[in-house]
Amino acid sequence: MKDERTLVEGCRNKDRIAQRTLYERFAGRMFAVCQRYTRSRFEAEDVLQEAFVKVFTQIHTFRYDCPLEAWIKRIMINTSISYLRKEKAYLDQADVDDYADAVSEGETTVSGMEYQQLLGMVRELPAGCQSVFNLYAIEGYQHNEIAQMLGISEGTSKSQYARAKQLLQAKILETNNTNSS
Amino acid sequence: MWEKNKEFVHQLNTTTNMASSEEHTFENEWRRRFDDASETPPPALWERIEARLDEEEEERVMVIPFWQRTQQLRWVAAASVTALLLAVGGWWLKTNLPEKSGAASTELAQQPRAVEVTKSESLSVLPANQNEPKTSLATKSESTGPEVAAETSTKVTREKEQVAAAPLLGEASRLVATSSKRNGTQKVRAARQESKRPATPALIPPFSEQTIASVTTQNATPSSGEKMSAKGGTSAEIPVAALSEGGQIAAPSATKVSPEMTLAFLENKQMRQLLGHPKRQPWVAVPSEPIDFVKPKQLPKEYWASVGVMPASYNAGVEIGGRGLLAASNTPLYNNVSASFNNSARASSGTNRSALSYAFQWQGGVQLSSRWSLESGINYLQGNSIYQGVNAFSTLSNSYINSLESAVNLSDNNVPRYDFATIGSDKSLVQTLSTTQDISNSYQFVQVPVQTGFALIKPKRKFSLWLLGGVINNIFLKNSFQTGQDNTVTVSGNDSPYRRLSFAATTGMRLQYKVNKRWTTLLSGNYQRSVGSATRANAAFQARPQLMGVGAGVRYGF
Repeated sequence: MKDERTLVEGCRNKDRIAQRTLYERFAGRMFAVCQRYTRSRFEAEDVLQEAFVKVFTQIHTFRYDCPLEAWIKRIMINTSISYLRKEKAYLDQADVDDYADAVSEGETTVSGMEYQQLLGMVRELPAGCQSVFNLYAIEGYQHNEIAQMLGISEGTSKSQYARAKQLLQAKILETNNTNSS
Repeated sequence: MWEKNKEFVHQLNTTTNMASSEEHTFENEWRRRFDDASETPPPALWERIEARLDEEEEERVMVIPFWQRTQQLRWVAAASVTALLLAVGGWWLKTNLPEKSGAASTELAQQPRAVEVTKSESLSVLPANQNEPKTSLATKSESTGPEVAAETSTKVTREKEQVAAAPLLGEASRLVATSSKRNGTQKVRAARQESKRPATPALIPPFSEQTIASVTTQNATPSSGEKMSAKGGTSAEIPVAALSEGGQIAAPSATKVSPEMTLAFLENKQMRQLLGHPKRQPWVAVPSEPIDFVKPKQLPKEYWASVGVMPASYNAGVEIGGRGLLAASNTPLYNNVSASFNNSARASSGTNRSALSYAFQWQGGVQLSSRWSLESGINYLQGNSIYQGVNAFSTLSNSYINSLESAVNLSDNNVPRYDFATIGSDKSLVQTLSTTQDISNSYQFVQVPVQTGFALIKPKRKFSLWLLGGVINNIFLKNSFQTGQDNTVTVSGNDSPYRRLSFAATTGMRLQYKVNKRWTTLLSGNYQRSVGSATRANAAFQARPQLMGVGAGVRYGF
């Protein structure tokens, strides 16, 4: 923790070495976060770059009231969302009501699947679904929070998530079937 | 911790919102797979981030440079404070001495001289540096007439050898020398080929001139070296142009113009283009001063506004007596009062001492040229001054009354504070047992200065130094002073013995430090002396205030 503090202080003083150290420490995990929210590696790189610039220019606002990693991750997520917003990814969103026919759990386990496979599935989700799935399932936000973050209604968030879940389960099922056959 | 909280709440909600535990597993499974995921970004990404950070920092410096830079410029702040303290201390002592105005005028007289000295120094430095290469070459060029066409080419190559062999050459100059040597040799060949034409020898010297010009300037001032070499670059094109027009412009005029200054003029008029005129073209190592002369900078008018505060020592210069006194002396009262005051106070005759005062300044100005500025504004002056007067007991008012109080009352057209008219000639009314009293005066003025500024050090870079002079219109607001009873009396209004409007001459120096394009910090020394008395002609006392202050402020340029 103390080490983290000196690192943050170094970054506040615009010490390039401290900035580099911080980058090296978190870049890998944060790149994975950006990958989940975007559709291509190229986009993820753009977002990562933008977000790290924000981290370093806004580091003086970090108050140590949460772990540094969580703070950085939040910036990554926010940057991703604003990037997607710029790309008008949310325009085509509509409430999806038909999420009753969920596939049973036993057949859709992800335990046997590769990370890259899973990432590919998330990326193939429709734009709105992808963010909601990330925010709700992976990050653990509530639907009302997600609604605020994305500027959509809570109902939309819920239906988007249901759709995302449905699509993912279908994909897992499909993959498992092709693997087993 | 933050994340865990989220997770906890999420779990709570999902369980309470009758979501199945299976659903819970679905999210947990995905989360577990993604939570610790890590992918190495491309190595070039950090460089891109770093480049962006550099840009951001530059922008930030542009936007909020003042506070960030002040941190870096603590030494400037420290130096300013030290200078301020020294100046206040020094002037404080000066103001307490009687001969202030004389000292100030000599100070003024010295300032322009100092500038002249620095100028002449900078001028004298250049010829000293130029002398070594120049004299030898110049003499040679004198010997080579335009008619000796074949010899000039060989001479020129010799000159180049000398230049190249000069021990003072830097790398850059060496490069120039060698490159021009190549040019020179080419030209020599050209000269040999076209030796029959009378104009061709004249084509060569400009090259040698260029090399020497750049060499000497690089030796003399490395800072101006860039400018000069740039200039050399442009002038290098001239012979080429001249070459094309060589056949036409070949009228040598043999007027003898040798001094450097006139050569500088020739430079301006591009006399170098005149061919067949090798004598006085070559050796012009243009010093940095003539460049300013050649291109008088007509800056667009710049406007600014500034605020400042000036701690000062203010001396009211009160003197009891004057024309009003004669008029008043006819009245029996004044005879008595003044007799008692005059008798006892003649020895001290009312000395003035300055006290710590201050002025707030709001000013605006316009920069007319790189040297001159015109400024005006409004100041609020709180002038504290002590008059050492005489205090005597008046049996009329049954109280002590001091000389200043008496003089003010005699001069005041307002309701008199004592009914002097009824006093009569009873000398017993004023006792002559008098003592000296330090009478504190507190003057308040609104000042409207109109002054011009002359740049002793031009605002080319960060620092500039200005000499200021002008007139101040002092608008009297009020004066509060102590009475003999140690009460405080305030004199104000149109009918007070003080003039509503009085004038003062002002002069000063101002050091400016340009923080950025918009903001400039100011440190100034200022001397003011009233022209004539600040009191009315019929007043029984006179006041010739003087002020010395050191001010600090900031300026915003538009």
